[in-house]
Amino acid sequence: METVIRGAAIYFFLMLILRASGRRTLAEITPFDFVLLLIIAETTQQALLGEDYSISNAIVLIVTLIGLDIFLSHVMRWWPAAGRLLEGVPTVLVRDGKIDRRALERSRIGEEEILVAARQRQGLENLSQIKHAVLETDSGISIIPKER
Amino acid sequence: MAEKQAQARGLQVNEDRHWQETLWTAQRFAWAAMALLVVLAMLGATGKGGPLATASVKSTGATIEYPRITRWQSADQLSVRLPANASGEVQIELSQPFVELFSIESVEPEPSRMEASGQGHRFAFNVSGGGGQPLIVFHIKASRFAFSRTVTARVGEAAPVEMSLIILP
Repeated sequence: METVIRGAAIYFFLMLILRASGRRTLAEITPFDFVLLLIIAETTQQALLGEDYSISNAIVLIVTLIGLDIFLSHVMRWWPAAGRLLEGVPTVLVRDGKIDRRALERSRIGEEEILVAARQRQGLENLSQIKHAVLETDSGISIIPKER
Repeated sequence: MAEKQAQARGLQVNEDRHWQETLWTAQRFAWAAMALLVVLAMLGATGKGGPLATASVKSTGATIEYPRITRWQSADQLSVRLPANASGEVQIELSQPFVELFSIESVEPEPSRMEASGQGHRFAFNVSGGGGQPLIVFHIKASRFAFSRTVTARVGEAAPVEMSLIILP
């Protein structure tokens, strides 16, 4: 019982904190983000396992975490409002070639990052070639180029 | 064959819908098994809290609460609630099989005397009367795993009581 409660508590806490920190935080992993990720992993490991190194504990914990993940993915399908809360909604950063400055500022994205995505995914050279750019819920930026 | 079909439709992909359907069904069964495991864990079937994980036995006024299901290398406790009228020296004996299965990390309160005998370990406590049931807690840790084992404990001169327990790996 204790293992399931520990697992669920950490799962929901991490979900809350990652949602609250905004989409960019762990999306593009800079070396510092990577270190941060390792520290989070190390810290939660203690909270999750305590002093219990038994195999049963590990199995119950893993099943609890993965089960919660599967369960929540179903909840989000049945009840779209939960999806909007847990996964967020896509943000349009560039609409019809026009940059939404407020969207950029609020989601902590620079123009340069849109250009990076445009170069990497579409081979575009400058902003004027972008028709739409959308910050997706998975933290990636998708680019739709203008017709040439 | 599946590949050929896919190619005929113009998309070159190794699809096998029939096999995919089988995998999807298997996944649903796996999810059900996972849900069952979580429910069992909540009930205490995997030890560490929950109604199934602990059990208690009575021995002439004293109540022994022991881990019915515990885990290897994981801290747990055995508590003995003495009868309210207990006073003077009270002895608790944990049988040989118990001592073989568990390492006793600490005892609260500290016993005034400890003895090893052919029957097991004997702990003596000084108990002062004065209302309420004195509680003695043994902090134990399973040192090997065992599927279904019966051990005994004895409080004072009462007959030994049996405790059957499972130690999960």
